[in-house]
Amino acid sequence: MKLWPAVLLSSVLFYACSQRTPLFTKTNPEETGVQFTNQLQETETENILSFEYFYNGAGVAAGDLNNDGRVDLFFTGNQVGNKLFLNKGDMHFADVTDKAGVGGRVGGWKTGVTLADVNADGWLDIYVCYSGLRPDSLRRNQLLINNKNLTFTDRAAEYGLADSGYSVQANFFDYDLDGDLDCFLINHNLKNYQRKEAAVMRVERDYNAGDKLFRNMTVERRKGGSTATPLFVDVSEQAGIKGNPLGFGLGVSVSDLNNDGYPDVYVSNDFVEDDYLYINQKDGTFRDELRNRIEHTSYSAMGMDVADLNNDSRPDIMTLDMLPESNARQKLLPWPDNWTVYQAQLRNGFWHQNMRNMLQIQQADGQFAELGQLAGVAATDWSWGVLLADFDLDGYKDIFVSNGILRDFTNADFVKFSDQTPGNNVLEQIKQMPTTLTKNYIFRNNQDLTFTNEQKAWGFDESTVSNGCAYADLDNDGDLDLITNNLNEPARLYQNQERETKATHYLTIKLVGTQDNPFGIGATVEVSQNARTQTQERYPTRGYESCSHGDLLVGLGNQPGTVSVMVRWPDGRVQTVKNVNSDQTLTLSYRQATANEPASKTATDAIFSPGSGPDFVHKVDSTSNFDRQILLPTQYSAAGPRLAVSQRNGQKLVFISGNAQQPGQLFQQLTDGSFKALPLPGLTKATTNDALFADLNGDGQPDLYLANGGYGVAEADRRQDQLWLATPTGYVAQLLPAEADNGSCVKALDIDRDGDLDLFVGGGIKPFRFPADDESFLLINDGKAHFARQSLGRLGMLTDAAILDINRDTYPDLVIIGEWMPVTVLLNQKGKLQAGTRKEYTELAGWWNRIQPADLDGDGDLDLVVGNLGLNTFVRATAEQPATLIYDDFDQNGTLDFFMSYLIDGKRYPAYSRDEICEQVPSLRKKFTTYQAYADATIEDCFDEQQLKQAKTREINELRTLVLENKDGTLIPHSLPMIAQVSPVYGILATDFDHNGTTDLLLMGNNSRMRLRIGKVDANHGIVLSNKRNWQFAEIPVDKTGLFVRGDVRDVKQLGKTILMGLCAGKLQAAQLNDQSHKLASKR
Amino acid sequence: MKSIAYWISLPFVALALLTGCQKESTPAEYNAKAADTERYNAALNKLTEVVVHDIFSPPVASRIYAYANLAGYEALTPFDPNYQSLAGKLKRFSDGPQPEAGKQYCFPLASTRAFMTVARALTFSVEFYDEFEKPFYEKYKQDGVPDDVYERSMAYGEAVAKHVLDYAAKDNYKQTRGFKHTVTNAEGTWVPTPPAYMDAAEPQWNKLRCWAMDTCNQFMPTRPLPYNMTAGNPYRKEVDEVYTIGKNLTKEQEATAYFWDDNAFVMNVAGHVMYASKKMTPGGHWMAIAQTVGRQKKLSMMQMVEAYALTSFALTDGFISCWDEKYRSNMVRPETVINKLMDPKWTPFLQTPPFPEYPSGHSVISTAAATVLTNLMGDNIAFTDSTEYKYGHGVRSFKSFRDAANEASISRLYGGIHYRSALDNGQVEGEKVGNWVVQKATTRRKAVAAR
Repeated sequence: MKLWPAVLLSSVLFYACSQRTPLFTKTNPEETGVQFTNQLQETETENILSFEYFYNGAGVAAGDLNNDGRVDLFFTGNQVGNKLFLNKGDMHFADVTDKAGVGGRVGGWKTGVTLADVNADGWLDIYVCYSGLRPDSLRRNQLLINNKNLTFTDRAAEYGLADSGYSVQANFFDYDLDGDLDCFLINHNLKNYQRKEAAVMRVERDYNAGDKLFRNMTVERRKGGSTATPLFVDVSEQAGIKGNPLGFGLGVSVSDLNNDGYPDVYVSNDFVEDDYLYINQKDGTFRDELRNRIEHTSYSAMGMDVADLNNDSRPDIMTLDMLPESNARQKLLPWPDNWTVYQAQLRNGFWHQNMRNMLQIQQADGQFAELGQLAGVAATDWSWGVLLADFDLDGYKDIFVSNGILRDFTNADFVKFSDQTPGNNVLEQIKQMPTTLTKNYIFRNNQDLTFTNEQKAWGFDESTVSNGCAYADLDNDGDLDLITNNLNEPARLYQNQERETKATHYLTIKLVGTQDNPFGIGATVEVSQNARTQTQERYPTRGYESCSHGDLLVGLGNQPGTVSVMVRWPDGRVQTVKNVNSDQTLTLSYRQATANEPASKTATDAIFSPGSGPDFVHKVDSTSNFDRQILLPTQYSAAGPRLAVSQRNGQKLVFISGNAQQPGQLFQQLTDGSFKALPLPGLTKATTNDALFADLNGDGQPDLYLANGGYGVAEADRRQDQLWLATPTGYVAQLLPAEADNGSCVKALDIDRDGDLDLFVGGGIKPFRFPADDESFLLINDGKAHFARQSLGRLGMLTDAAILDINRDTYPDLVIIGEWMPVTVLLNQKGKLQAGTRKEYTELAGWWNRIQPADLDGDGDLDLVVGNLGLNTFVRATAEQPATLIYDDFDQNGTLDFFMSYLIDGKRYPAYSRDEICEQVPSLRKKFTTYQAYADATIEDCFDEQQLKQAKTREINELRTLVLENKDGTLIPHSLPMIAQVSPVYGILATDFDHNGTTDLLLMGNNSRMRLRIGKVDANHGIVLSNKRNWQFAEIPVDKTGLFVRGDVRDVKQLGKTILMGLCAGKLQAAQLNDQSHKLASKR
Repeated sequence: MKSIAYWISLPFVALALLTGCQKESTPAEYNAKAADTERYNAALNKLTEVVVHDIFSPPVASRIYAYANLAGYEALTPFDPNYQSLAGKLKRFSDGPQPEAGKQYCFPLASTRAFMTVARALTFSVEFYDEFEKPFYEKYKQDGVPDDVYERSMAYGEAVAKHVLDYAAKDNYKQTRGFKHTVTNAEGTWVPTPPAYMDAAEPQWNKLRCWAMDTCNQFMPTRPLPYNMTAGNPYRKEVDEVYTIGKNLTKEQEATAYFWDDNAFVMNVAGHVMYASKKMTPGGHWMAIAQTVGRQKKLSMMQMVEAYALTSFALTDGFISCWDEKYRSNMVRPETVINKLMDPKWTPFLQTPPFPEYPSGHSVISTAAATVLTNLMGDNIAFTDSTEYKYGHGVRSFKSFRDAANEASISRLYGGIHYRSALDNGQVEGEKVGNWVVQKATTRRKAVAAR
């Protein structure tokens, strides 16, 4: 607590500082001399309707072209000539284009630019890509070889790199680790094909549209091979590079993504084609392993970048898309959110794609979790280039995004209502497309997987159209400046003022590589400072159509001191330099590196090892709940499977809940660990939401209760709960009071303390009637498993309940949770539970899924872990800005209309598009005849006062998964590390995983079937949180847990040493809890 | 001193000022002018414009035409003693407001007013009507309709419109909103089609109250050929026919298909650039054909409105009957089958509309409409249809209504969106619907009919 004033003071100071000077200041082109405008001329024949990529803009490259220690700038122009600006120091540049001869081919359409020392002479060369509606002869890419005197000669044909496809960007790197730089080239097609043709097109190879890999033959030639071959040879086909006509590559990044020492390649593809994640197979070939490693990607992926954002030495990936941030623009521009279309896309063989930026944080070797919505970086409008770099030198890389489109041609009013008739004047038609300029985005890394938008404070409060972007320390002062290539307006040069205004420390690292790779492309540098290690890979092709070829620059924060620097060269040689002073340029030479990496990796025992579970594959039917309630937040029919376990009398049992697709199944675990199916006579194909083992007739045997229901189960008799009593000859079905509620959970408790176990059955969503809820009830036991039903009325859309004696009166109490409701305590009044006396924790109103009691502070009473929706969706709800759900039959047609909305600046905006809301209540189409009319509409604009007064409203203000401390009967919430919020939690296991005497947590979940706009949330692969006491928890990284499970987990249960995980629409997963786990170091 | 004539003339002067300086006309005079068929035509064309702009699906568009024309018709019947209200003749349609005895009315005005009021209520972009209606009603004043008659007629038209809208409110339309068709992906069943993979339109349309028909399945067509892609199987032969014809389309076949496209919403996609081409729905097209031939035959306003009304009932019942079958048989579109099993790149000449294949909607409703129109205006009336011209679809000539309906039907085969039996059986179904409408919705009084 003593820390707080200091932190507060320093943040106030920081704020005051940043108020004075923004981190970046825009420079004046006349003063810097960097005068360049990528000006477009729209003509009858060349325009956005004839050429889809007319507004895609051009690139910028930053690198020292004359080896004078200063970074020069090269801009490409689509129709105008390229420009080269020589850095004269002090942010002054001279235009040397004409003398250098780098203006580009007259009449050519220039796109991406890459700097690389292609001929390995120690001088950077320039590779310029060409595209456009031009003949082949004008589309040949140029390789401008540096003549070492600020003149350049195009020798692309001679080198074998004069490709005439529709090129976007080249990336030079050594894929085969033979020492020389090879070339990966991304191309695009002119036509956007229908996705139905994908299956056939995928096996085709299109010279102009397909991506290409060129192998550099320098080393082979030296070894005595033929010098007759060109220096670069197209090896795409044998190397496994896809070259199909569907390719619309807009970004290509190189990184060792699976930590095996070989560089891998990620290609971000526009439109429907999947991105490619080429994993280097170490034999000169690549394999696209996207689907094995990435859960979902951006839809219209544009630029991308790869770098380690969370300082775990694992590179992370960010891809860009076109989702706008503001409510109004989200509603003006169509946002593909159609379940049917999405399913068609999957059926046509495409991967999960959604229209937003994706931030893939690497979890284990080459395995990623997408958490862009949690990070707050998912929506940056029509975005082109992204740069992951430490702009404020605090030791964590930040995010810059260039964006803007000259004309908003996806404006829904234009698309639907501009009423174009064929044959209209093309330029007139184009002029009807509205223009909206947008601000570039820059995000500060909050060092906890989240980012803060600093557009204002960091000097990007200006609306522009920016495409290519690069960073470099242009004034050699130790911070990174930013350069953007803009469309129809001057290119921008933003000077970083961090070092000018503050005493923040840095280290610049210059790499001197090998004979064939003088700039050390592919080297990895790790800078360690106290407990923090920053990692950078030397791959300069970053941003969109751009290249940042300056020296590596590492931010060291404001703490003085020395750092330790380790470099690993592409061939594995390493060098570590200790006690390096900050604020200087450190030169690292390959010559000083030693052959072998020190053996630092010691195998640690993981917590879990692979286990074997019962053979059970959960299935869900393909019917869509959105057909019945079109605004439903998720597919409630795709529920389960929940699990029930019993370890009574040494007999280990597990019941796996079933549904209409296949009945549940009872298994017994044998002593050898294997599972044997046990018969359960009378078990039907009911949708079982929850199951429970408990001795209900006092014979010491575990009886089995099934809470049946199902959102999509129309027949009342199929929602009847079931009970089996264990007898010496097997399980015998026992009749229960008739009911047809959608029971969501069942718990056993001796409510009246008469010595037998009674049951609580929670009511869930009324089938087909979200957000109406079904009744909850008690089943009072007469001791012989004959039950009398006591209704508790409707308590909310319950999802789970926990039993604990919260007020220590020896009568067990009940804590119930559910969607759109507060954590609620039902106190047992000496044997009676009454809904009227419930205590609602109104500040804990959430989208709750699971609750688990556990003693987390070791004080002898039970605390609670409550699983919520989490923060990795676009849904936001806090005490200040709650989310609301308003519902009624507004149009009086017999169906319940409900609308989720978010509070933004005190106004409630519906969370749906105009089309969706008008489909639910068609009369609204009359109110909102255009998308513009709906763009700023609040719930109050949709309905009149009387309607709103009659309607029911629910409000939620907490979306985080939390732990609740039981303090003398009062529940006190404590937060968990941000990683706990990456997905909805549906499975909680509390036990001492790391054997340090505290109860740790395993959280599992995900939901792949939420409405597309909320998103496929799948970033949880099994999160283990180590309990550090005093309500502090720390993530144990995946390589130390040994647990990595993909998919929607709906329950986690422990049976002896076996951990069972119920996977929705998948095979039941099992893991073995290791006995001798070492005490493990946690991540933080 | 002012003359007595001055005092007498004063109110007239005031009246003349109020009515825009027109001189008072007799009912015979102003009604003769007001009963100009072209006025009603103009109102109908305005409605079509809004239906196109608002992008109503074909069934929904037919419903709008039917209620608007019913209102127009009901408000006009007192004008002509030979015609009668359709109360009791359309399903659950009861007697509406009656004109006040002994009072003067301009029923043609009441009729257009009733039409416009319903049109306004059932469509969305009402600003289109605002600019249209102002000068529109002004014409009736210029015809010399006295103010009180004008007001009374307008009020009567609105009352009839209200009666019709109350009737419309109970047709289950509202109750069928917000549901989608469940795609099962079972072999041979409908799935969303390229390029937009839109949801199936109006899966619950058979729940709408019928117009002249007793039930939605009254004219259920014969069962479609069972899905079976074995070579030589009848179904397979029909798939082959669609494919072969599609591969070898003649210019004439292309022109035919394109002319009858009548797709309310065709999305043109060029990369991220998208824009919609919008056209009249099949229903709107047949309203326009009725107008063309009605004009050619110099129909009176009463006859024209009768033609619109009966044609639109044929269309609505046709759509209900057709949609009932579409979601019963849930037949897969040729594009899906051909892409999956024969030629993944094959694309039909027309964009496949978003609903199951069997039977062909255009075949059902065109034949139903042609049957009604033939009954009203006669067979073998040659006409030239230029109503699609402004949508870029050319001009075509036909020997008769039925000739046009036959071409509309076969055009769907050329367009690659239907199998032949969906056309043939759809036409049989449509003819039954048309004849039933003629038989049930009797507009003319018995005495007239007997004459």
